Formats: sequence, structure tokens, C-alpha cells
Amino acid sequence: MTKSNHFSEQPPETKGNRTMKKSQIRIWFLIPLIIFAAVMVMLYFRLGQPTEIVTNTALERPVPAFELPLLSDTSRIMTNDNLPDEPFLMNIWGSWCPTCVIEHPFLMQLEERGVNLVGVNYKDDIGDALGYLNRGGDPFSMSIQDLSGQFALDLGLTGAPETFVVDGQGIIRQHIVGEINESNWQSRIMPCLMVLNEADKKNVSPDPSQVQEVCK
Amino acid sequence: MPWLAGLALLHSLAVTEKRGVFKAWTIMLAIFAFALSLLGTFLVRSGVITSVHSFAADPTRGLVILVILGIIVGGGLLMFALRGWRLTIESQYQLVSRESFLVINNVIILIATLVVLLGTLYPIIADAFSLGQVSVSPPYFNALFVPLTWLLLVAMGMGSNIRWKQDKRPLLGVGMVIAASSLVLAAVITYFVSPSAMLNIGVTLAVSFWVLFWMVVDFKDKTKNAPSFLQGLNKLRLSYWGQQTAHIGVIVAVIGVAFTSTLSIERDVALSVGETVHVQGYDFTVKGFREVKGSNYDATQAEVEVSKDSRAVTTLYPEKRNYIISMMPMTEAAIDDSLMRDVYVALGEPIAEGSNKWAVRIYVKPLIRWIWLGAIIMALGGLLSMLDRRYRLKTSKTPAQIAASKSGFTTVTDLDVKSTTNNTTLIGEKQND
Amino acid sequence: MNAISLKAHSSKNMSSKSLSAQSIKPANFIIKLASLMLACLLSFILSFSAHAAIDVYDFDSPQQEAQYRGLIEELRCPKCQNQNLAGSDAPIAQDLKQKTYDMIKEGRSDAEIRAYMQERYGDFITYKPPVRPSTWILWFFPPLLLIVLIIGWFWQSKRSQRVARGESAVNVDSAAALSAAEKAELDRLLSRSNSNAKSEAVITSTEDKK
Repeated sequence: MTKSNHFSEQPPETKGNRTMKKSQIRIWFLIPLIIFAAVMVMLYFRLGQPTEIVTNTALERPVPAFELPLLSDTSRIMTNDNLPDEPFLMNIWGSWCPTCVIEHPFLMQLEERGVNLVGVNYKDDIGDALGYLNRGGDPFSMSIQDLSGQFALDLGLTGAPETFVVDGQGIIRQHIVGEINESNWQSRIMPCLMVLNEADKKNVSPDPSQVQEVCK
Repeated sequence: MPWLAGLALLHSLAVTEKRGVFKAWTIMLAIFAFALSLLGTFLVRSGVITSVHSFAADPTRGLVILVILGIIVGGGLLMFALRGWRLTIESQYQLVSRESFLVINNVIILIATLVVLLGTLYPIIADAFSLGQVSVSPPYFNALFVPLTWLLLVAMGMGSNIRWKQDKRPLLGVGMVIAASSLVLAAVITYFVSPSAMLNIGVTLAVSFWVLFWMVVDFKDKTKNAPSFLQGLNKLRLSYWGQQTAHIGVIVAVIGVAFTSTLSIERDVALSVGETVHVQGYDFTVKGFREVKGSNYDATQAEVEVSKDSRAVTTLYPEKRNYIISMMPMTEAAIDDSLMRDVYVALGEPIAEGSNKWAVRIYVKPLIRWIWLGAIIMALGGLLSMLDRRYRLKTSKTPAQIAASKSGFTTVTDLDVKSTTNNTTLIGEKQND
Repeated sequence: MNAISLKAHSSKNMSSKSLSAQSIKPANFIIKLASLMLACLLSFILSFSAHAAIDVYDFDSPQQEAQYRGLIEELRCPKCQNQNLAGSDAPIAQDLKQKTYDMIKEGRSDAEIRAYMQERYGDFITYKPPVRPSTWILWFFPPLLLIVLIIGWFWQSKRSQRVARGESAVNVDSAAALSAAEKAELDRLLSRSNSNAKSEAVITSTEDKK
């Protein structure tokens, strides 16, 4: 049964007690509102942010070990030792990939600017791959053939084109998903490559804090 | 999430109607239920989380919905914060009482809602606090939600049959007998059905029997004063029947879920004409393929004969369709449904170009129809409750109001300020309401 | 729509261990690729528990098959909008399924395969979030909250029972000090309302039972 008080005025000595109890109870009632406000703030800041998952496990680790044939001469097997000694861009491509076709002219430009490009031909028919290079030009200092896709798997690849920026000691420092074009070259890749080149000239490891800042 | 909050709200309202308490809970749950539907609307349109259920990723639209959410729900919760404490009233009920169990019910359902909410929003939280990206999906939800459901059913079994305010009956003995017999019966059945699934199926069956046996005890208790059992049953109100029906519906659905998720079999095989594959006691034989022309598609149709213990059960005709205009290949699965299991056959592709062996997928899903059946029974329970006489009477005072006015005390069922300030409240009383 | 948020980033399928070699001509291939991508998109939009194209793998034992099925439901397709490998038609999903199959045939355990995938794709590749400090909030917050709330409620109701019995130190207003005259008045009022209450006792108790 519900109890209720018939007295319309409270005895003075208990008034203090009651207001304390009231405000204690009120705090509980405030909790849902506070939690709600926190959630709203989080959601607001999340609006418009990109939500794709980007695999970055390859970063700050050496290029995975591989033994793959050279594209231009499949009787020769290349390994990590055949990779350039200076900082380079490793581009994963395939003749079947439409975005790679779009990216290709820019890669030719990069080669003219003196950037060292290594190609990884991903799950492609060799005839198609060679035809592709013949038509558009070959910007790569060398191309290796990943027929099974195992090397790409080791890199945490999800498709083509993707590019990895590798420093002078064979450590992957940056991962670009999608095509390289003038805009992300200027904003992301070039600053990173410059830091890596400087370090390589001095024959030292690049400074970690610098890498974190520019190789986004 | 809104369904869960609504479930808690429904039960909370039952208490408010009967006893005049739990008002703060009721208001809070009502706000939550609506807030969660709005949140769902926001999540699938704004693009803040990746999901197969989202059908737009439009931050502008998302912002508009966020503002609506903020105003409506924020306003509601603000009012709740400012005025909600006035709803708390002292209520006296003992530890062993239906009110207690309904508090537990509310708490468990809220935690279950929290599990779903946390799992859904986790990518956002992880981003905000740089906790690293993790994927949250069925393995997480099942690990937490399933034990909560079991707990809820245990509470439901006892709670729906305990008296209001105070139950002095010697229930401990009865409870232990019921618990023991449920466990034994469940263990036996699980042993014969599938010994390896002891945990999932065994525990689910045990809590289901727990609920059922308590129901039987309650039926006997409610009819003990009547001249005969049937006459006693006749006297029971529709709302009581509605309650028991709905709870049976829950049990049926939960059993369906447990069996299907644990004992479903899926096999992908390559078959050509005349070959048979054996799955879960059924034999599937491909009798032949033929080309079928539909109005806007061309299809390859397989004739698959299904038999059990050399007795023919049915013939299924799965198709692989190629829609002409869109050039999209689509699979039409063939399903043989019955109360105890669904048998499902789908056609894939030929194994190789020009081969006469086709990839075929076969499912045998036990008790899957029980999930839908359980939901239908729950709805029926709701319908029965709605038809109860007390919702059709002209004078609609709640039983609490009637009782209170007769004994000469004013009640706090009306929310006017004067009566609430006359009330004594104890510290933390909100927990009990 | 989903199409807008997907990057212009394509993938390709060629399983090295399929039952027969697929010689693929370019035009044929582009059509297959396009329809695969369309199927992928549609499967995101239309299906809830999508099922990918049926791959037929031969297993040495039912345990292996069960292991395979368990893993492909647990591993996530790294390119999709939140789908597991079992439900995805994406080429990278096909590759990962093939890899999983290969590793199972080699006799690797669940943990080894999971570790292999996580090393290459990160924590999000498995749908079962790992139990480590950064995910403690996910795993432990709900059960802990449940325990805290139940114990809290239990404690509160014990406390209010003590108050009601007059044992606690908390001052209840209605039990504030009364003078003898007020006490007599109270007794008189109570005895009057008791007689009212008794006649209603039958009604209220049957209501209570329901």
C-alpha cells in the first residue's frame, strides 16, 4: 500500500533531511541525460568521417619475404635482395583493373621525375600484363609477378591499385589505397618520400616522429 | 533495441497499472524506446557506421536527424531529470514478490539493450578514444546476449507466478523440485538429440522446462478453490491467459533459435545426374536438369529427390536463373518446410565450363519454423490481453486507485504537485520504482 | 548509396586450386568481373544473411568441414561493408576462403589461422573482438553493470526494509517524535480506518493474486 503523509507542513527539524534526500535522488535522474549528451557529441563528430577499414598492418615492418618471378623474364626469380637500396614506391597493379589504367599515365610522369617504382603484377595473365606495359609504357624499374596472390595477402592487400612507400632499408612506411594522382602525391606521398630520401642519404633510419607526421 | 526497451516498458506498465509504482521506470523506458527508434533511423542514414543495413551515407541528412533526436529525446530526458524525481513514491514490497522480479526483469532487459547498443556503437567509441579498430558482430552479441536471455527466462518462470507485494508461500521447496526436474529432463533430451550441444540446447531446454513447470504450478494454485479444474480455468481472466500464452511464445521462439543455430547443417557438394548425397538422415538425389523459360528469365532447373530411410519425402526444384535484361544470375532455392525442420536446396554453378557436375548447397535446419511460430504465439497472447474486460469497462480506475480510495488514503497515481509533495520518500527510493 | 562510398578499387579472383584451370579471355573476364561486382553490391543491399556463390571444397573429415565453416563465418571480408567471408562474393573474400581451406588441409588450428589473418589484416579481420585491455569495455562493462545494479537494488531494498522496521538510523518523517496527545489522536484515527480496511481486504487480496 502506498503511504502518504496527511500533514501539510513538515516538522522543521526534518526539513533539512528531506531536501538532502531529494537532491540525492535527483542525481540519479540526471544520469540518462548526461549519457545521452555524451552519445550525441560522439555521433556529431563522427558525421562525415570516412568509415572504411584501412588495413595498416604492413606499416613499420619490412617488406614481406617473397620469391617471385620477374615479369619480363619469368625464368629469373627475384627476392627481397633484388629490391632497390633507395626509397621506392611499390605499386600493385593488374591489366584487368580499370583504376590502374587511369593511374598509369601519372606513374609514367613519376618515373620521369626520377621516382623509383617497383611493380607487383597481381593475379594477371602474363600476356595481358606485358601487353598492358607495351601499350602504356613501363614506369617500373622492375616488375614481379604475383600469380597466386600470396604476396599480396602477406601485405594485407584488398584490391588494386595499392601503393606502398618503402624506405632505404626495406621498411614499409606508408600505404596508399587506391590510385596515386597529383593531389595525394603532393599532400601525402611526396612529403614522406622526401623525409625517407634525406635519411637514406645520411645512411640512417628515418626519425620515427618525423615519419609519423608526414607519412600519413 | 526499441523492441527490447518496449518489452521492458510493457512489463513496467503492468506494475504501474496494478500497483501504482514503477512510474519513473515507465517514463524512462518510454523515452528510451522512442529514442532508440530515432537512433536507428539516424544510424542507417548517416553513414557513421558501416553496415549491410545502412542504405545511405549522407551526413547532411544525418545531421538533420541528429538535431531532431537531440530536441525530442534531449527534451524528454531533460524533463525527466527535472521532474522525474517527483514520480518516486515509497512502496513497500518484500524481497519475494512480483515487483522484485519485475525490477530484475527491467534490469536484465536494459543490460541486454546496452549490449546491443555498445556493440553497434563500438566502432564510434573506439575511434573517439583511439582504441583500435575491431569488428563487432554475431560472436560478440551471442556471447553476451544468450546468457542474459537465459537469466531472463529464469526470472520469467518464477516472476510471472509470484504474488504481488509479498509472497509467503513455501516456494523454496517447490523451486528446487522444479529446478531439478527441469535439469534432468533437459539433460536426457539433449543427450538423445545431440550430446555435443549440451550447453546451448541443454541449458535452453532446462530454462524452458523451468518456465513451463512453474506455469503448471500456478495453474494449479489459481484453480485450487474452484469446484473443478475446468471450472477454475474458466474463471481465469483473459489477461492471465494472454500472459501465459505470450510467455509460451517466448519459450517456443527461444527453443527454435537454440536448435537452429546449433544443429543446422550446411553442405556444399558437386553433383551430377544420378548422384546422391547423404545429409543428416536425408538422401538427396539429382534426377535431372532441364531448361526452363520464365517471362523475363532463362533458368536451369534441377529435379532433386529427397528421401529419408528409402521413403520418398518430396521432390525439390531449385533453379538457377539468368534474368535477361539485367544479366544478373539469381538462385531460386527450393524449400520443403515442416514444423520440425526445413530442407533447402540451392543450385550454384557448374563446377567447370561445360561440366555436367553442378555445385549444390543443401541445408537442413531443425525447428526453424518455431521461431516464427513463437512470434505468432506472442502476438496471440497480446491480443488476448487486449481483449480483457477491464479495458472495456467505462469506469477506468486502476485496481490500485480503487483499492486506495476505498481505504481512505490519497494515492499518488495522479501526478499533481500537491499530492506528491505530501509524500515521504526514502533515500534511493528510485531504485525500487 | 553504397556505390558512392565504395572506392574505385577493384579486385580479381583466380583461385589456384580450383578443380580445373580457368582460361580467361579479356572480354569474358570483364563481364564476369562486372557481374561479380554487381552481385557483390546487390548482396550488400538485398541480403541480411547473404550467401556467396557456392564453392565446393573437399575435406578429409567432417571436423575439417566444421572448422572451415566456423572460420569463414568468423572472419570478416576486408573490403565489404561489414560481412563475413561466408556471405561475401568479393574476390578478396574468395582468396581468403581459399587460403583458409589450404591452411585447414595443412592441419592448422583455428588459433593459427586466426593469427595468420590478424597478422596481415589487423584485429578487425575477425568478428570476435579479442579480449584485451582496449576491448575490456565491450566484454566486461555489461556483465559488471548487471551485477552492480542487482546488488545495488538488493542492498537498497534491504535498507528500506530496515527503515520500515524502524531499525535504521535514517529518520523517517512520519515517525518523527509525537507527543502523547498526538499519539492518542493517531491511534483513534487508525482504529477507525482499520475497520474500513477490513471490509475491503477480500477484494484487494484477490486483485493482488493476479
